[in-house]
Amino acid sequence: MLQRYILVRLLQIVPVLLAIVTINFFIIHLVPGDPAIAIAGPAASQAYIDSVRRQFGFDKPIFEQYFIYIYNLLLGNLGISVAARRPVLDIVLERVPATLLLMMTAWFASLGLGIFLGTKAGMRRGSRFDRAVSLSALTLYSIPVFWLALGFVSVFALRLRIFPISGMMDTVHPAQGIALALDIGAHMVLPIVSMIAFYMPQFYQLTRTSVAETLQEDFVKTLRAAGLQRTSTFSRYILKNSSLPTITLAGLWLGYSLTGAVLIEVIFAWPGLGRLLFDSTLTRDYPVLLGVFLVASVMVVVVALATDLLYVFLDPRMRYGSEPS
Amino acid sequence: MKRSLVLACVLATVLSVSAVGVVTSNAARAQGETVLVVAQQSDPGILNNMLGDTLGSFFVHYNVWSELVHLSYDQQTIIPQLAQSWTISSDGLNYTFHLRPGVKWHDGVAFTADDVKFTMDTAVALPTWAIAYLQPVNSTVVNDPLNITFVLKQPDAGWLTLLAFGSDFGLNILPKHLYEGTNITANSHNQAPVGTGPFKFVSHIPAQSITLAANPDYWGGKPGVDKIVIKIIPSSATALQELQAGTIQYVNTFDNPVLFSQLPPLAQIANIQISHPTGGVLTWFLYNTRDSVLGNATLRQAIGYAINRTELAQKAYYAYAEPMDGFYLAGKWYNSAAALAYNPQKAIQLLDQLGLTPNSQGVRLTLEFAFHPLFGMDIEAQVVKEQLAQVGIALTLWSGDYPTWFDKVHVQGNYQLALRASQIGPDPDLLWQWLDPTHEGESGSTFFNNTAMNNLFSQAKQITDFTQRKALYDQVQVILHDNVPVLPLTNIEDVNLWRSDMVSNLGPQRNTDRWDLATASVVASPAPEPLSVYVYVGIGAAVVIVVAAIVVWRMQASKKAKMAREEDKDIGPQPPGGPPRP
Repeated sequence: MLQRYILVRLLQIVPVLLAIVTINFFIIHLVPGDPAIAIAGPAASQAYIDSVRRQFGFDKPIFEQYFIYIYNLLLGNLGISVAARRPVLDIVLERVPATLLLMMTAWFASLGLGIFLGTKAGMRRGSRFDRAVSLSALTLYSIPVFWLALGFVSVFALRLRIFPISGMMDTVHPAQGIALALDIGAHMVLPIVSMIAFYMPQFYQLTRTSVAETLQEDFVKTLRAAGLQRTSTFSRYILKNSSLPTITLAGLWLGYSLTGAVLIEVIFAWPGLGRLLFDSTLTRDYPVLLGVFLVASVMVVVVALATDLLYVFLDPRMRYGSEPS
Repeated sequence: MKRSLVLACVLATVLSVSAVGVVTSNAARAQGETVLVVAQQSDPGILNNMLGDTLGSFFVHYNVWSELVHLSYDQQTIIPQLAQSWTISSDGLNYTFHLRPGVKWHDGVAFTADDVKFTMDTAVALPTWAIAYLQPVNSTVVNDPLNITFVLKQPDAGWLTLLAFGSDFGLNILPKHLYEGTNITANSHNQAPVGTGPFKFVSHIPAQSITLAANPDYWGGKPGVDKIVIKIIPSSATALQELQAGTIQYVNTFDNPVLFSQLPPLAQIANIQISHPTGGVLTWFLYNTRDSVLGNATLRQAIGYAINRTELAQKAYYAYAEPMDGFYLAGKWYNSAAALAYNPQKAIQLLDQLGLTPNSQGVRLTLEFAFHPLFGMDIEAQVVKEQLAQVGIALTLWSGDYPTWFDKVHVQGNYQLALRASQIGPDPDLLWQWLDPTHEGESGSTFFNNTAMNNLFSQAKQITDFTQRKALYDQVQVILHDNVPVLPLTNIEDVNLWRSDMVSNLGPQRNTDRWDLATASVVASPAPEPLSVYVYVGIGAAVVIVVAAIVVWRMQASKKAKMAREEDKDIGPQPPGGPPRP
């Protein structure tokens, strides 16, 4: 039963991806602005603009361009970047590690902190701890992330000189080995703290509400009646039963993570995919844009699948139920 | 539990010790090597501007590659580069360049006239964007390794200036021995250039930085700096913070567009120097002369009189721009008789004459105004809107990013009034590309077609005598004054900011160019970024405290659990996997 469910979900990915690729392709081509002209730049002669169109196939009818794109995609060829004249796949892949490093760290930190604080606050709703944390979480969440980021930079980097201002490493004084790891770590602190300030409150609120709701349920009354105290064991039962909404949100965020940090990556000059997306939009580098969208979509689909499978393991009703939907 | 505490202490010690190591070794390495760090906004996909469709990196272009000739910073004189001198035949058709002897490519191969011919042929054959600057050229002939002749199709007084102008942006001479017989656009040297300039390419870390090293064999002498790091920082706010911190020493606003509103507070900081020579980027109106309303020349003129360009330069550019009142920059080609100065009374009088009377809200007519936000034009558009409202012309603002705006104005020609910015270049003929009614690319989007003006432009192009040529352009300016198909507004200054306590003798200081780093000298190189030992000691201490806290907390919890287990004995075993949810 379980194997069949997984197989069906895997097969479903194929039409989903095809639909995504198709929609991406046409949406991008609907954006006004001729890429050949954006590429050719100011004061370009008509002969040159025409040659750019020919070179990148922009002179062909859009449906022909679409089928060429799909055909190349099946061969694993994402095309050539218009701005860099290099294969799109190389350009996209060289940005993935930086983005994953930043986003995964921020994701784990936000999720861990959100669940930890959310459980504590949910267990003791109305307590001084709950009120203090809820208020600060709400405040952090309502501050625009770019403003917070610039504020962090001017205090911790410019005034106190504790952390570097931007970038991923000190390329002026390149380091190796453990020193490089430390250098990257120091560069990660401010962007990650800025992201935690935005994402942690969401996990916190969700966990807090969910835990508080679970506390009202009958089995909790039974446990209480049986004399269980508010120990860590008790938190564990509650948490397991209230984790589904948080997992859904965490999965969603993880799916969007590859391109979700455009603003943070731009402010902190982080060399990730979000910035590639930003730069490519400005230059109308269609092949690169499509490449980034594709990688990001694959991520969303894969994480959505993983989240669904995780439900099956967490919620016995889905495991033993007649037909999981 | 005790084991984890020990582990944490070991980890913290390792961290702190290695941190001390990093800081001291970095400090040692920094000694004796001078480093200049500059900023640029976009990550160049390609480091060969001739193929760089988005015009990749000007710092690399100017410091790794070389061209035949350059244009001076004020765009008034032509500066010899690889061409030491040149002679022009009496019929104005043959331009012979005498190349600098003894110049070597960064890989040691000698530079010759063959490289120049190969470059020019490639630029036309591919084609590249540089074809626009080579259109007047019929052929190039190599006379000997150090002499090359460009044969023009017809005499063209502005061509040499045009070549120099194009060279500033691209037209870098390619090494024939590395490019010949290869797929030029896919050649790996586009990413790792081998040039003849003052600096050699070392490395490019995508989206992070480009590193260059001094070329001791440079024909202009060994540069004053050992190493250049071009940091790629997309946000100008971030770049300016780095400048204040001294982790960047030089920012120019061409490569790193700064909001003009960010400049006044920076001007107050003692060790930040701002230079702002005239940059030659003009903002101007394009009128769609095919439009049913703006087809009227008197109306176009009235709008010209209603614009207070001095106020525009003040409000939109915080005085980092100069107002324009004519069609050429103030200088040798400018005709004061064609000036269109601010005169609101005259504007109102002309509007009344046209029968455009104000309605109850004081609005005489409404126009659509299309702009894009580059070069601070989003703010300029707001000021224009305020100014025209004072004479009863209401503007509906339309804005899009540059490609979208370009599509609307230049491709579709579907606009009324538009605001654009562009370099117009040093030669008066360069204005023609914006007025040429053949409507190719960006030109001719005003649809203005005046036979007398067209003839004057094509005639003036072939005359080499200044006085005769000037007389024709004076007439052109009068026609433009009467018809106003375009209207120059402001000349944006080229703002450069640098740390005067760390670096001196930069291009803008010596009036050569904003990208000229060959003669820069560094007083103080940027300090290593991971700043102090205290940070790592602090991190180490924090780790120890956190781990200790966790250990203590776990011990307490297990003690409690033990007590709880003793109490739970009466309840019986728990169901596996937690109690079922109802």
